[in-house]
Amino acid sequence: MPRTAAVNTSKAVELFEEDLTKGNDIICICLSSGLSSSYNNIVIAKNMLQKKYPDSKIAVIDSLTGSLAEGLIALKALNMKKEGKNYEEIITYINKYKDYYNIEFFVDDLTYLIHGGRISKTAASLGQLLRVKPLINIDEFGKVQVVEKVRGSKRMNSILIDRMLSKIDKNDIDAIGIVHSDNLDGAVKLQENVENLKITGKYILTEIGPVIASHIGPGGYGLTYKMKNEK
Amino acid sequence: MNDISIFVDKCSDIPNIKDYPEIKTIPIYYYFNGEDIEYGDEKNLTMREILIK
Repeated sequence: MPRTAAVNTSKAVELFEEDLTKGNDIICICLSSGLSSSYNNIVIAKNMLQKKYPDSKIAVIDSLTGSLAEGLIALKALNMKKEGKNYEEIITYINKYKDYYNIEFFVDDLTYLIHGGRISKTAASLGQLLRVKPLINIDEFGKVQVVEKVRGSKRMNSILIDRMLSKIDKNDIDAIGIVHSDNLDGAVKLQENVENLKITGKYILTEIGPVIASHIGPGGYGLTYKMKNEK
Repeated sequence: MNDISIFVDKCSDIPNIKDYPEIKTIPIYYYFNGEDIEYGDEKNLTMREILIK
C-alpha cells in the first residue's frame, strides 16, 4: 500500500512566489490538518514568504475537510472572486462557512483507514462487523469518524440522500458532489437518485484522487455538499 | 487592489481542474513500499494505479 507524503514546503514556496512576484494576494485552501501535515507545511511556506512580500496578503486556510468538500470551498472562492468580491470578503466567507461543507462516504473496507492511521481501531471496530458498510465523515476537528453502520448495501443511497436532505437548504446550494473510489457504477446510480430530487445547483461527479483513495481503499462512494447548519 | 490567486492542494479532487486555470494545485507526493521512487503531481497517477501498487 502506498504512503502519501504531505505537501513539500519548498514546492509551496516556489508556486506561491510565482504569483507573489506579480503582486498577487494568495488564498490557499488545504486538506484538513487532522488528516495531513500539508496545512502546517504550507503555513511554514507562508511565514517564509510574508516578510519578503509585505505588500501581498497570504491566507492559508485549514479546510478541516478533504476531497471534493475542500474542492467545493475552492470553487466557491473562485465564484466569489468572479463576482467581484474582494480578498477580505472571500476570506471572511470561507472562515465562517468552511465547517458547513460536509462529505459523507460509504467505505467498502476500513482496512485502509486503519493502516494509514486515519481512524482508530476502536472507532473502526464499529464498522468491522460482518457485511456492515461503515459510513464515514469528517468531524469538527477534521478527523475521520464512523457515523453510521449499515448492514448490506440496499439502503446505502437512501441513507446518504436522507442525511443530505436533513442538512441542506435546497434554496441555497451551489453544488452537490458525488465522489467515488473506483466505483463509478455506484456513483452514477447515486447521482441518478440525487438528480431525481430536482435540487437546483450543479452536480459534480468525480473520482476521489489518489491521496485520499490510498487511505480509504476502493469500492466506496458518497456525497459532499454545503450544509445549512453546523455538523 | 492586488489580484487574487487561489491555491488548493492535490486533495481537493476538483474534476477537470485544468478547466479552472484560476485555481492552482500544489502537488502531493507518494512513496511506494519496496520502491525508491517518489511520485508527484507530474506523474499524475490515477487512483486505480495507486491502489494496485
